[in-house]
Amino acid sequence: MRRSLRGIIDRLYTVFAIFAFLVLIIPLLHIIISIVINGLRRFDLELITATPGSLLGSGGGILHAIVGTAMVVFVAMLISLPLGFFAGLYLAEFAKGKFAHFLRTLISILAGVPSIIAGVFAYTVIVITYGFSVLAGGLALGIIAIPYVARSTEEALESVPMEIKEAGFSLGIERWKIVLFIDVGYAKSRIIAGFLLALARVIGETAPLLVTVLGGINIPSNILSPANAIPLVIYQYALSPFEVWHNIAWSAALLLMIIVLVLNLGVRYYLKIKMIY
Amino acid sequence: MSRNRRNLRESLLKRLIRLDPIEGISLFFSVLLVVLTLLFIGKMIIYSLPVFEKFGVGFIVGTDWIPRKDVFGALPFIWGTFITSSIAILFAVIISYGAAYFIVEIAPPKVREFLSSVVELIVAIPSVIIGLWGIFYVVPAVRGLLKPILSPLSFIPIFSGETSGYSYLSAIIVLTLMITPISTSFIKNALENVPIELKEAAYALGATRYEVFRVVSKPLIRRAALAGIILAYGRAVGETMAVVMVVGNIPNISISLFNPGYTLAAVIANEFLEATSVLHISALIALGVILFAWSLIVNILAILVLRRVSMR
Repeated sequence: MRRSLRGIIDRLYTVFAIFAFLVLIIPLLHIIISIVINGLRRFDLELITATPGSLLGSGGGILHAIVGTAMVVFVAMLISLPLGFFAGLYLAEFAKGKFAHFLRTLISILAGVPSIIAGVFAYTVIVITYGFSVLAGGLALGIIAIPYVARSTEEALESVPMEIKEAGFSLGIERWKIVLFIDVGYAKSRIIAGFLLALARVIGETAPLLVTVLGGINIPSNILSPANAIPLVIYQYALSPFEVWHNIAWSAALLLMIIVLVLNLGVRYYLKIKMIY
Repeated sequence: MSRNRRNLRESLLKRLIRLDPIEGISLFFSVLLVVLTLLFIGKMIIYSLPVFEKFGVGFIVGTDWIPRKDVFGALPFIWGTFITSSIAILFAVIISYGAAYFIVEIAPPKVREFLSSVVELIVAIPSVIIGLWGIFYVVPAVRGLLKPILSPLSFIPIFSGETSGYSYLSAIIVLTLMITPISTSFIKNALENVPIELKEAAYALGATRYEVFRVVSKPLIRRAALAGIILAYGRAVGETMAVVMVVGNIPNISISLFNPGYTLAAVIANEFLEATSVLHISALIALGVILFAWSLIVNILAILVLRRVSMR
């Protein structure tokens, strides 16, 4: 009798676990299926080659947002790559003592800062003086990318086997050459993978752009002009009352999902190839 | 004394000359990163000062937010952030223990890796896409499905009132969906690392699968699970897009989950573009300071817990 009660409890927990897993996984499948089905309605060439058009027609495309996203992400990479890479390099190769501890904590904290706060940072530093611009958006996304780049660089460099470094030292090679050519050279593919994952992370960020780049329908001409971005267009069109725009929002979401997934899966695949030797 | 000082100076000079070029460059960028971060935080605090000077503590406990009259109180947003993130993390904890147990103990080992990477896929989906899905599927479901189902319970304050669907509850649903994978993946990884000998010992004593989990695994993974839960909570506090799209965006302090509300992150995202008065901008930045402090505390807690996990 007692034994069977324990068996029942075990069964019940199994049922609960299956249920919990389904609660988690069914919405995910629903999201993906609804993006594909709704997104395919306007997933055409016009979407990526035209700027917004008349509401009476197809509504045009999101070329302005694609250019905007490319420019903002480019600025973000210009800011985050040197800062993140060298901070990661410093932590992996040289850091010791209190400063290293402080830097590592700071990077952990930066990684946990809500992305909208990065937007507020960029607002106070750039927007108040220069206005809503690609530069402000790029700074916001750059701040978000830095901890990702720094961590992946540090982890990649720490995976370099000690024997390889020692071989370099035994030849009397200078420290900076060892770091640059042996360590970075060895960990190169993992460092690049980290860059790409950081890129995938920021390309879908919306909140910080909402307070920094303004939006609008123009293709930005330089880094101080206002811009739009793919995720921002999804947000604006989703809130609009027009079905034409809803369709474009879904198609833009599909486009964004494909970009993010290709980056994520591509990196995993690329790493698997590179890790063999 | 002077001899000591000269030695010190000489050794400093020697170190400077012998400073490796690549060490110098990476140190430079590291220091630059620290300086920039402090600069950003400093600027944010300076810009938030006007509103604190005008309202004092009243800004934090004030319940009215009327930008055109220059009246600012943050409590509706603090309440909205608190209630949505607290209930979402409660759901996340319940679901993620079950889901992690399913992935590690029940699912066939062959598909384990596949299942956990599918769960982690949710984290990679941009939050604006979750928000888009929320507008078209969660909001109508809350209005047309959950409200009728729960209407017999509407004598309970948290389920009372009518709803348009844009509500705390919709925000809680999208938040739960977004943060559960984070805690699930921490718990799953910790469960996988429970020493097999301990589990086998318990099985040998005749324990069932659930009893092994409850008596052996659960106590062992407590800290790692806690770290994952704190990180997931931090994500819920700061999440902006998915919330701003479904929460209704009305500065309310309401106990009913079917009512519309507003959160700190959502109001910052919404009102910056239209803010023109100095005080309004300052008030929004001050909300940013509150949100930053909130997530900072959560993060530091997570770092402290994680550090003790790795020390063990």
